[in-house]
Order: sequence, then C-alpha cells, then structure tokens
Amino acid sequence: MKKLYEVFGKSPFDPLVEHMQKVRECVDLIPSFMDEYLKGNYDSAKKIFKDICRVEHEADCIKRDLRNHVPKSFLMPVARADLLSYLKQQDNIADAAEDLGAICMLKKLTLPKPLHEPLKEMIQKNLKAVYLIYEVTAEIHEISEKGFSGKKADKVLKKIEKVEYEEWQCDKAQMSFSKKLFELEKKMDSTSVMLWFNIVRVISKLSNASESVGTQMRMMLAKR
Amino acid sequence: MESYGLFLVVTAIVAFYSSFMGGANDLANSMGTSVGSGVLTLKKAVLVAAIANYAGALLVGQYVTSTIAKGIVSPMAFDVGSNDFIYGMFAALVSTGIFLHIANHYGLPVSTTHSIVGAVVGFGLIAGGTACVNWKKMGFIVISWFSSPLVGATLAFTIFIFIRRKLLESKDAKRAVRLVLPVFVVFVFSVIILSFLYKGLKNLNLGIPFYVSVLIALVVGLTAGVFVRLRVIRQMKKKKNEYDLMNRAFKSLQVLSASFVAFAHGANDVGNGIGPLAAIANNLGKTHYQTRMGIPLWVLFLGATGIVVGLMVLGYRVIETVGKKITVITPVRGFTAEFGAATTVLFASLLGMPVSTTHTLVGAVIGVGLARGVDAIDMKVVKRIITSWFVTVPAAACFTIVIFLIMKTVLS
Repeated sequence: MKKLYEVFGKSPFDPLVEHMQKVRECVDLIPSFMDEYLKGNYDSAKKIFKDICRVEHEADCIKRDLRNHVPKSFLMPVARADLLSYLKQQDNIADAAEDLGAICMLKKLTLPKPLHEPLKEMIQKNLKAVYLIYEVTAEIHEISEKGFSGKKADKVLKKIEKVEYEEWQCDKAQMSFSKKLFELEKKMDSTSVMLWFNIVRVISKLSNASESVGTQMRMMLAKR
Repeated sequence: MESYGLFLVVTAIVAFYSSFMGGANDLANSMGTSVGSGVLTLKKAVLVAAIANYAGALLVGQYVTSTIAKGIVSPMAFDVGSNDFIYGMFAALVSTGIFLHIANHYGLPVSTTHSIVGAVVGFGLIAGGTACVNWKKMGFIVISWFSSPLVGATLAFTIFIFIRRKLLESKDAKRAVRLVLPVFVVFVFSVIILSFLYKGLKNLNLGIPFYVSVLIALVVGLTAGVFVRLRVIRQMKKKKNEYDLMNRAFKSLQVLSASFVAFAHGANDVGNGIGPLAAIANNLGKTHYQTRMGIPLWVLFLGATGIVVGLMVLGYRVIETVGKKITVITPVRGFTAEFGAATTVLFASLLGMPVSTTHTLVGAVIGVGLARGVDAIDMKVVKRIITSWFVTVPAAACFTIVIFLIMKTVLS
C-alpha cells in the first residue's frame, strides 16, 4: 500500500464553510448599498454593487472547486446529492444579493420618504434569517462529529425552526411593504412602482433561500 | 552443497532486508493515525512502535511464520538430495524483496503479505507441481484476506457506534464518564492482555493454560478500570468538564491502541521476512526434512530487529508524512480504527493466518466512515487495493518461478 492517507478524501465541509463565509460577506454589503442608493448617491452605491459582484464571484469559485472535488467514489456522512443541494441553496442567497444590486442599477430609482424605514427594516429581517443559517453551516464540522444526530442535531433543528419563523416574518413584512407601496402609487411613475415591487421580492429571496438551506439540513440530520 | 554457513548468512541478510522494508513502510503506516491526531509525537510513535513490535514478533510471531515456512508448501513434499526446497524458499525470499522494491518505486499499493505468500506458492508450483501446495491452507488464507478488512470494518463500526451513543452523546454524560468509560477500559485492557498472553508466552517457556490467561487479563483490566473510575471521580470533584475528561481518556487510549497495532503488526508481518529463513534454517544440511521444529528464537529476533531498524532509518519519515496528511482523525476515531484493526490482525495471527495489516486498517477506517465518522473516504483507492490483490499473487509467483529457474541452472 502506498500510503494510508490516500484512503482519506479532502473534506467537503471545509469549502462549504468557506463558501458560507463569502455568502455572509456578500449579504453584509446590502445595508450600506441600500443606504447610499436611497440617499441618491448612485455612484457610491455602484461601487458597493461592484464589491457585491466580486464577493459573489469568489463564492462561485469556491462552489466550483467543491463540486470538482467531490467525486462519486467518495463515501461521506451525508449523501453526495444532499451535500451539493445544500451548497446550491447557500449559493442562491449570494445570487439574490447580486440580483438585488443588479435591478437597482437598471434605473436611478427614488423611493418616497415614508417607505425608507419599512424597506430598511425588511432588509434587516431578511439578514437575520441569513445570519441564523450562517450559524448552522459554521457548525457543520461539529454536527458531523456528533454523527448528524443527538443533542447537537436537536439544537440545530431548533435554529432551523427559528429561520423558518423569521422567513414567515419576512413574508409578512414583504406583503405589508408592498401594500404601502401601492397606496403611494399615485406619487410615483408606474415603472418605478413595479421595479420596487420586484426589488422587494428579490430581498425576500434572501430569507427564502435561507429557509431552503435549513430544509436541506433537516434532511441531512438523522432521526434515531 | 558446500558452505551451508555462508548460504544461511546470505539468506539471513536478505531476510533482514525484507523485514527492514516492512518496517519502513507497513509499520509506519500503522502509526500514522496516532501522529495525525496529535496524540503521539514522532519520537514517541517510533519508540512505542519499536517496543510493541518486538513484543508482538517474539511472543506471537511464530504462528504466521510457521505457516509461511511450512504451512503452504511443506518440505516433506521434496527430495532432500535435490535441494529444491532450500533453493525454492530462497528464491521466494529474494523475489519478494525485488518485487516489493519495484512496487515501492512505482508507488503501487502492494501488500508484503500477499507477495510472500504468492512467492511461496510460485516456487511450490515450479519445484514440486500442484500436489506440493497445501491448497486447503491456501483457501483459508485467501478467505482471511477477504475477511480481515471486513471484520476490521465491522469491529470498528460497532465500537464507534457504541462509543458515540453510550459515551459521547449519552443523555447523562456524567454517569457515562463515571460508569461506562471505566467498563469500556476494562474491556479494552482485557482484550489486549489476553491477546498476548494466550499462546503468547510459549516462546519464553512460560506456557500457561487458557483460563489462567483469561484470569490475568480480567484482573489487569479491572485494575485499569478501577484506576480510571477513581481518577474520573477525583477530576469531577474538581469540577472538570465531562467531555474534556472523555477526550483526555481517549487520547491515552489511542496511545494504547497504537501500541496494540504495532504489536499485531509484529505478530503478523515478521513472518513475511523470516518465514523462508526459518524454513531454510530448520532444514539446511539435514538428511531428512521435518516439520516438527518450531521457529528458532534468533530468527524471530532477526526479523523483529530488521523491522525496527527499518522503522528508525526510513519509517519515521513515512510516519511523519502520513501523520501530516491525516489530520481529520480525532483520538476517538483513531482509537476505534486501530483497536478494531489490531484485534482482527492479532486474532488472525493466533490462527496462523498471514493477513495484510495495512489493508485491515483501511477496512477499519471504512468501518468508522460507515458510522458517519469520517468526512470523506475515497472508495476508488479501496477499489485499487482490491484489484491489486488479484495481481499481486500471480505476479509474485511468476517472479519466484523465474528466480528459482535461474538459481537451479546456475547452481547445478
């Protein structure tokens, strides 16, 4: 036998955690981006958008690298399909962040003052879901140590329930913001109204994707 | 045949070289997991491996050595006058050395055990035809080659599930540390002590009946268990975290399992280098061949020394490489894989079955992986190992046949 260590494959959990860190970095840029955008500082907003794109690209590289290093011949504590699906859901969060910036860049939009706070609150609620699911991914090594079951799994499931709750809150916030938006539609041109409506839907994708990540983790946790 | 002495010395040198290569590669592989988990430093690993390996070879090494020396191809099937048996064993030894050297050079996953067995079968076929090979024994040996990784895997799997459920994730961690851990320690110690007491002291003329070995093993086990329980209780009074205690316990247990692996390696693999030497030493210059002689102690000692020297001269670098690359092994997983593998290999050794220590260890690691204990195991490597089984024996046999024919033409 050449060397015993050849039996051990490169752990897929390390790049998974790295990817999630990039996703978080991406999402962290959203509040400052929206601040500048709402103030009308479109040039500074554009700079931050470029940063979001850069970090999203870095996340993609890690994603590609992980996919290239998980061959079908690997025996892992989770099914290969489950792992790759988890990665995809995580990546959707970063994609949503980039989509948000992209739509905003289409036109120099303005938003009536009364809607600024509700929008920022909505963003914070979505970010909360993302940060919660970040904690779940960050602990995947520990989860694996405990065999994806037991007390640790129970704790993680509780966190996922919280994410699902936050996602529901985000849905409510999205509905209430959209209602307020349409109440003020006479004060805005119709294109802007529809664009803001879409922007808000993309913001919700952040919490929806986070919930999907949680669902995927649920499937990976064994029930003994 | 004139200079018996010279021939014996040459054989001894080749046997030493063969053992040397075994120490440099196989034994080093076995110790890698302990260095990788951080439980042993390189120096300690080499020291532990050396002592345990000597013990294994000297106390239990004679069974597998006997099988290789006279169990597969018996000297009784040969005519003393033709010296075929002597030449054949020598050819097997030399061809194995060359074969392993080449395999090593090209980085092929070849087992030393499979090679020497294939070589012996090879010379048997060419020198005495199919009749002189003990096919029944060969059948058992081949079965043991397939079953040892499987048994290693099953043992490691079971032990890991047990440790995880009853110790690491037990609902009452405090009770687990106070009760389950000491009981587990009793079990581990008893198995280890029993394995080298049983049939193990015959070489030192201290043969003891089975029930006495069991008794001694249990006594030592219970002593260890009580010691651990007292220690745990004292540490818990000092308000030490129970998970810390468990981790520390497994760090010590892994030192134990590493020595156990080295011991099992000595018992099973020493025969790979010295089997033919023992056959030649017992039968060189005799008027009739016989199979009643045991394995001389000096032969076992030579083999063990070869392995240890190989470990110290070249093997330590292999341990370092393996240790650096295997960083994913925690003490609990390392212990489980090593204990599962060592128990299997030692059991096979006591039955006189030559098995591959490294492949059994791979099986044990897979057992832990199946219990969801390893992040990623490359089954492609496992496939390569299994393929090599089918290639090694015929290849080693052919090598031996060629060398044997060369020898006969040159020396006759």
